[in-house]
Amino acid sequence: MYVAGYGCCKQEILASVGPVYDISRFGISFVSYPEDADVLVFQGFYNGKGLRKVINVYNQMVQPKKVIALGKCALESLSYAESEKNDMLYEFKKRIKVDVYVPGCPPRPEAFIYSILRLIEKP
Amino acid sequence: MVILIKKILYVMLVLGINLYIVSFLNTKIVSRIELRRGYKGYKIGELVFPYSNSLKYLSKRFSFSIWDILIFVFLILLWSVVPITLNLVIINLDYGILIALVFYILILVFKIFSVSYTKYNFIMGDFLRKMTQMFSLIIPMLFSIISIVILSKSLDFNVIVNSQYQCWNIIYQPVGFLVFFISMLLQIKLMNLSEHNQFLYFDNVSKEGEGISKLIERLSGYLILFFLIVLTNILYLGGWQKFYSIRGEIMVGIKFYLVFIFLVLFERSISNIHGVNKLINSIYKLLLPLSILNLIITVVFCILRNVYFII
Amino acid sequence: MSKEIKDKKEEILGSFAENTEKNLNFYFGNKIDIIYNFGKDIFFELNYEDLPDVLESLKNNPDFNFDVLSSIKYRKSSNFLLIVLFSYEKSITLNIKIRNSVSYLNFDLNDAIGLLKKIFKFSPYYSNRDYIKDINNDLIVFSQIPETLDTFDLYVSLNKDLIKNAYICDEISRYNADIVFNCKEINKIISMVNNLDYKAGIYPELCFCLGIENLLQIKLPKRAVYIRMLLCELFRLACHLSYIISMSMILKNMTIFNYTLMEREKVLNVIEIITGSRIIPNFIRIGGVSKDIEESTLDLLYKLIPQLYKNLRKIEDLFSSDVVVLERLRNKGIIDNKKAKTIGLTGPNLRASGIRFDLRKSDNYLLYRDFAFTVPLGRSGDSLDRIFIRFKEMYQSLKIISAVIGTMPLGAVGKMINPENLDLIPSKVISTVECPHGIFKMFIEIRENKDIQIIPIGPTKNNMIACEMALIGFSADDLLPVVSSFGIESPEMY
Repeated sequence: MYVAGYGCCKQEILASVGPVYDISRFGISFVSYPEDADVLVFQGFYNGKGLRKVINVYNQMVQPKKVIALGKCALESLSYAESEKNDMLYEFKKRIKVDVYVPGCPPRPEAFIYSILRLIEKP
Repeated sequence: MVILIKKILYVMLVLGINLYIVSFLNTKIVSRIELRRGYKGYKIGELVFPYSNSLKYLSKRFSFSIWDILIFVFLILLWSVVPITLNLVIINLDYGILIALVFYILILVFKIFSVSYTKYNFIMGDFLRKMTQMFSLIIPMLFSIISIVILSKSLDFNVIVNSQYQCWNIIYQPVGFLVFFISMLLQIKLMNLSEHNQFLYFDNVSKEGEGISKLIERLSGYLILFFLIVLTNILYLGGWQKFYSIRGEIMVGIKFYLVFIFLVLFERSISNIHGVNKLINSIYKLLLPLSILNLIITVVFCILRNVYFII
Repeated sequence: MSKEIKDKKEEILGSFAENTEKNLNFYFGNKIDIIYNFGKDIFFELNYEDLPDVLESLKNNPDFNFDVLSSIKYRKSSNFLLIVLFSYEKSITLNIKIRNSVSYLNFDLNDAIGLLKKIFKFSPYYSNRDYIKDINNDLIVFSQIPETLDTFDLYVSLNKDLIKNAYICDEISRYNADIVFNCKEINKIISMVNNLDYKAGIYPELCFCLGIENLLQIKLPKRAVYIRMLLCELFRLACHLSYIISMSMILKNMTIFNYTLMEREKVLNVIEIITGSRIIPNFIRIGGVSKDIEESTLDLLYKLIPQLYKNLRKIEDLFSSDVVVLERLRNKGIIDNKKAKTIGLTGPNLRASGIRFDLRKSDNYLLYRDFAFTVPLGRSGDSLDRIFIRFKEMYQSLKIISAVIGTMPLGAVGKMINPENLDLIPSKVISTVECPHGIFKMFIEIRENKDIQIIPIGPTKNNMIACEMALIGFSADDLLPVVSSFGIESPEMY
């Protein structure tokens, strides 16, 4: 699993690694190389350059690959924001298909873990 | 011929069982230390955990290089020389300790080559740094091994063990044992044994698995750990000597797991070693002088005992 | 007796501000029109042509002696340029808004910085420096890899193994706050503004509400102030704990990592019971707070404090007894007090280099004067000091929390104020709080039709400059621990 971006949601992802919400009991681990990742987590604040980086990461991942969009900021930019043709966001929406949307600002660690389990059950 | 095949089978069986127990214990102890309660939940599942881990690596992309095969071959060669107990050894050599150390160093060299296949440059740089640290750790270890060899006047494992029938070497050579243990601990720390829950892999070589090469990397890590523990046992803790009325084979098992648990506990309590210059400096300041001092004292002791018959 | 001394101190400090106001009027009376004085912050407007002369005399004249450039804020869309000067001896901030006498021309930031360059040494750091990317790229650390370094990329040029030059490229965190914070509804602003500091979200809220209350001259009930203080200290705890988590992650000590996460989880749990959310509180309202704290939660927190203290001690012991940690951090990334003063550092990073400066002591913005606590200081300003100063601050905030619980007064928690019917006149306010990273300021401008614009002035840029300065001359092995020891994480810069 590869986590992109920064922000409040990353705090909750960090909490899910810890001893209280132990995410590694489901066999999930975080990597920093996109080649090893199966799932991309899209969360936090982005501008054009950040979005271009995420597209780069997505292109480097190996099939089969899934995308989780986490938190209010990501959802807002993906579903409500207007995008023009020469915009980076338009490019992003065209290239990347999101599988699971997780609402919340920020979503609790349980919600994050639940979204991953949904991905495992119904690929 | 039949005896040889039998011996090979026995050695493989013993190593396999120990591999299972050690990887199981490792996850258990580490999870307990790191306060992760997740492993408590799986009552039946935890018994299968070591197998599922290896299956996870195999289910990924199929990739291996020639160096992985070489590592595997040399691991087999290493374990054909090292005796676990008196009879549980495939080839009995008069200079076994020398050959074992040569194989061990060769395995480390092949590990460098196997990692140099990655496209990320900094992994290679990091691994080279780790390896230089490892080799700088091996030097004081070799010095303390030499003093043992001088004490028992042989390169044969059997002779070394038999020379401890009265008293274990740890009593003659506490400083040497300390140096040996510290360098062993740091080597295991560098090899990064307990490897789950790593949110970031930045200054580590390890990545999420890639087929057989990853499996062999993990296997080689564990087998090197076994080699180091068995070496401690033979050199300092009396090997398969009888302890009062307890049989030697049982004593080997007890000592093996005691050393292992101590190692894991110490390994978790120190943070990762990084920065080649710093570590080499501290080794040259502390471990190397201590081991050389130990060597000189043993040489003087042996000369006094064997040449002048004073002691 | 002690109260008298305190009053005298305040008189002296107050007279500093008045004196500077008088002096400003005396020296540049014809050049500047209006001077606002908000206690420690003085605000005035200035023409662009007069900028170099005024700044030079402000720096060199012994009557002013404002020798630190604290921040430069620039918005291209609204043609806005704000220069913030600071003096450590008087602890007074000067906020200078530059007016454009030729209205059809936009400011050029590089032009203004070209003027400032001769007077203040560190002014080029505030301009767009992306051209450095092409020069030093011997070693590039991209963002997203470790947890702490997720808001910027690092471009480093090396001389063999030693760092010659470092550049923190924050292009991915240039988050356009202009769009979000031009808004009419105050409730919406309060719910959005806590994104500015995602590790301690209560501080931007508090800063905004304090500013509006200062403008309307609202006096708060005592219980509301106490609850605000309690939450501030809880968030300070959570923020410092997450700093230690990221530090242990860089040092790869998973034992400390997990123990600290456990403690952080306890603190977040209490915050959740009080505010309803773990990380983004949206709790403070104008004229008080949104909810009252129940007695049972206070009891729970009171029982938690000795437990937290014990566990934090344990974690500190784990840190300080580890030889590897000490070897890697001691005497690395040193910022001595002279350098820290010229850069304009604030917060724990400043205190680590041995300068006693805390807004909670000197400014008294909430009722911090009711409680006894000390301001911990470091000795040499290296990376190790920056860790242990945070531990000491956490013990102090635990002390404050227990004192707050012990003397919690009864009464209302807020005034009944409908934020939509406030009679806001076009004006400007600056409010200041001491957040866990440093001093957090907010420039609030109310225009016609109750249109509110917010410009945050945070400590992150100063921390970045200090980080770039500290890296020079050390080996590439020390790169990550030194960078993460500054605790740079905030999108409040632009």
